[in-house]
Amino acid sequence: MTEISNGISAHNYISRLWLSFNREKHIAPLAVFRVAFGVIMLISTVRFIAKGWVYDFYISPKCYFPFYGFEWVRPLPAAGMYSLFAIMVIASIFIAIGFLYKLSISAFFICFVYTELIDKTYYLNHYYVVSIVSFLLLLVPAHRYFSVDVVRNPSLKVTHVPGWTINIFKWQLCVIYFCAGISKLNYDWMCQALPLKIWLPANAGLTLIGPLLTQAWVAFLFSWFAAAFDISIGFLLLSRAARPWAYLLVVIFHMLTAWLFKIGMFPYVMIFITIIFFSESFHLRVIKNISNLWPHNVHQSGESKAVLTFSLNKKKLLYSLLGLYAVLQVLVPFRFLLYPGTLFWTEEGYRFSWRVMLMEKSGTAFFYIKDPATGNSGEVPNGLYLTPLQERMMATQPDMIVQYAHYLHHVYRNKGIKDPIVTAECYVTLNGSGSRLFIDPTTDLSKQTDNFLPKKWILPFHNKQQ
Amino acid sequence: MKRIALLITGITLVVLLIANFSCKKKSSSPVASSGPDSTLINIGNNIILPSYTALGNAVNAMDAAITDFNASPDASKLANVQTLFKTAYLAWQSASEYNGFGPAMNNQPTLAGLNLFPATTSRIDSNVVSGNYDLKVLSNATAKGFPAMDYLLFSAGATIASFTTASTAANRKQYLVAVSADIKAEITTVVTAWSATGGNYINTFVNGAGNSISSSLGLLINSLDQDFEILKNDKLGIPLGKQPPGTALPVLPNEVEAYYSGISAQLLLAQLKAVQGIYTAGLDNYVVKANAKYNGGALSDTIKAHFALAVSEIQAIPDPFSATIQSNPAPADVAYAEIQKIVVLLKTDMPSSLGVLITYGDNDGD
Repeated sequence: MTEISNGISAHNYISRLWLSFNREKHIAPLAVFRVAFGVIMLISTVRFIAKGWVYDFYISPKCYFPFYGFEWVRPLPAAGMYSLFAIMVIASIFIAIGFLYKLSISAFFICFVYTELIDKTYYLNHYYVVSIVSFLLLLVPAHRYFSVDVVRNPSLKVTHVPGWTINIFKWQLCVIYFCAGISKLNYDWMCQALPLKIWLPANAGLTLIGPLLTQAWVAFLFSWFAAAFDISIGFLLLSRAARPWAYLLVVIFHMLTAWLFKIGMFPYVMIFITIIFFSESFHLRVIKNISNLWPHNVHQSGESKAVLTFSLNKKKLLYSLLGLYAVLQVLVPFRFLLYPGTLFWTEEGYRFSWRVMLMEKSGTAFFYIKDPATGNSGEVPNGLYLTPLQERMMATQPDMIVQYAHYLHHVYRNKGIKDPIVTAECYVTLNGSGSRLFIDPTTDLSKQTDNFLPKKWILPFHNKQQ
Repeated sequence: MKRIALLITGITLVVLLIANFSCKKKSSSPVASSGPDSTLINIGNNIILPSYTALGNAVNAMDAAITDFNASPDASKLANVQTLFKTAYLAWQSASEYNGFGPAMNNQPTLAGLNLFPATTSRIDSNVVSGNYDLKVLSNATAKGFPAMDYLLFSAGATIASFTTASTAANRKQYLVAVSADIKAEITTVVTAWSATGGNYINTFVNGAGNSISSSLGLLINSLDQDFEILKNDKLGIPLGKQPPGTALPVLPNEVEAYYSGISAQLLLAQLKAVQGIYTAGLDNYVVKANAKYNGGALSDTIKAHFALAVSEIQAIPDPFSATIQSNPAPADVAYAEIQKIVVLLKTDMPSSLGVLITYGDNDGD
């Protein structure tokens, strides 16, 4: 490898980047990554089913909140939804062992994304991570080493792959952490230690550190540490010298969040998938250790080098696809800059931007139906149409408020009211601001459409108390 | 080198954290860091247990009177049963707040099933005539519990003759006994499950520290809010015609709680005061400790002021609510608006200041 010692120009960076994307690298990190992803998805999917969420989230609700552009996505009947999750369980196992890999990862990706698209109520950043990672795994030859597929068909086996097949995951993780860090650099987080100042004291009952969590300086320490961690950890993980310590930090940081907050699988998913940063020799050791668990291990030591190359056409296709995707990944988190108003309040451009645990926001929404013919109006019993979780998520997110208004318009039209007027009196509190009117209570929401334009009926968030 | 420097900074931070934790551990802290929470102890021992005990006693007294009435019915015994029923129904209002978690929720069927109103009177009548029914089945969900008792004891047809000389008298008495026994059995199970000498759920409750959805605070606030929404929607909103116009009439007087006995407003007041009592028994401490603000003032003061206002407004609603709702709906309208404000405070401001999720269920966040 040629090292350029005198100054680093942009050109050098680009050429180094290009090199690292094209250079042959051992496939071991990719193979272990595949196993880790399969295992954590298996745990996560089984947990999801065991908690009864398939029924609670996708079978029992009457009304759903699909994503913009995916309004046509509807849940399957109960048997279909359970089958979908059964497929995901089986696919996770197959991904982990590398059996019928292309089929398994395709099935997993389709089932998972389909499920996510049904209802944005359940949107979590880590589901977005999973969607992306499974999409990327679809493009890379993660099954061509240390897999059942290779045992069944040894001609599939390769030892070296183009660097991008591994680096794309590192790059994605760096984007996630860095954006998460940048999004913490706001007044509330850095200067007010909000929302941690609200969340941490709630754990005051914990042994040992409980009393500390009520201290303001601890909230500041955690806030600043989290911001510093998120911004720097991607770079630290890339550095060979810092990597072991950086990974230890990853584990400490995520375990701390798992312990203090109710964030489900997110910390474990991140702990599992950041192993991609480790060197090939580390991953080869992992493979050797796993292989040794079997008496007749399938992995032969002293392998001959087999390089996987892509045809020029395939390269062109993949590179343009990945290029587009890479640009989008950087731009999408910053689309909020195009909207007026306070991001946390309006949530225009909030999702898909790695904003994790950033705000304490809660609301109550009263919806009113008015019959234009008679002038009679009434308050909708939200509980008849929404699950409590849907109601809670809807009350603070304007695009969901419009969707619900349209749903109500439909319901009450069917009940015999011609073109009912739908309005909402909605109170929201953000980072302890105290509840205040969120949207214009006079706007007929059934006449509003959800699109990417700024929603004029969202009332401004006055940071000053009235 | 920069990276290494950053790394060292990070590790230093962690070390500092750990060092601080271990230092503080040795010094004594004013806040209980483990074991039972003093606020939960107060709410559990001084509010929840006495409420359940009162309900259990009231239901037992009512059931005993009904057994006696069943053996030799007369007008004075009927009057006694009616009085004891009202006492039990009032006691229910101070216990329904806990229907959403613990023994009341785990009970099969859930305890909340004892107060599904309005009663389906046609179903009760046909059950009485046939003399053949199972109160546990879903089709009898609104033919049992307090609303069924209310109908059996206070409807126009509930004369002493209906229990003595009418052709269905024996069946009617038997139905009364069955409904009462069902209420008694359900409530006894739940009261026993809470008591320290029974299932000892009180111990689970006072030790359930934290703010997660499965902590006692999380469970209590979610259950309380759910119960409070029944007050707003079912006890006030639906009868007042607050719900959207469909094919039904705007005002629905026979949808009130306790339509036949006509004590609806008393029951409303009892429930509101019970919720207020839970708030002032310790939830207010949490809110004060969290230093939560509302419009520049303290959130806790705001909540207390709104409770006081709502109490006086509910007191202004004359019973029988089903009649006054038509002749003079203004006081109830005013109270409804006030109750709506409290819903926002209890469902949004209070839990948000404590970091408690309002979902009435389980889910992940991120």
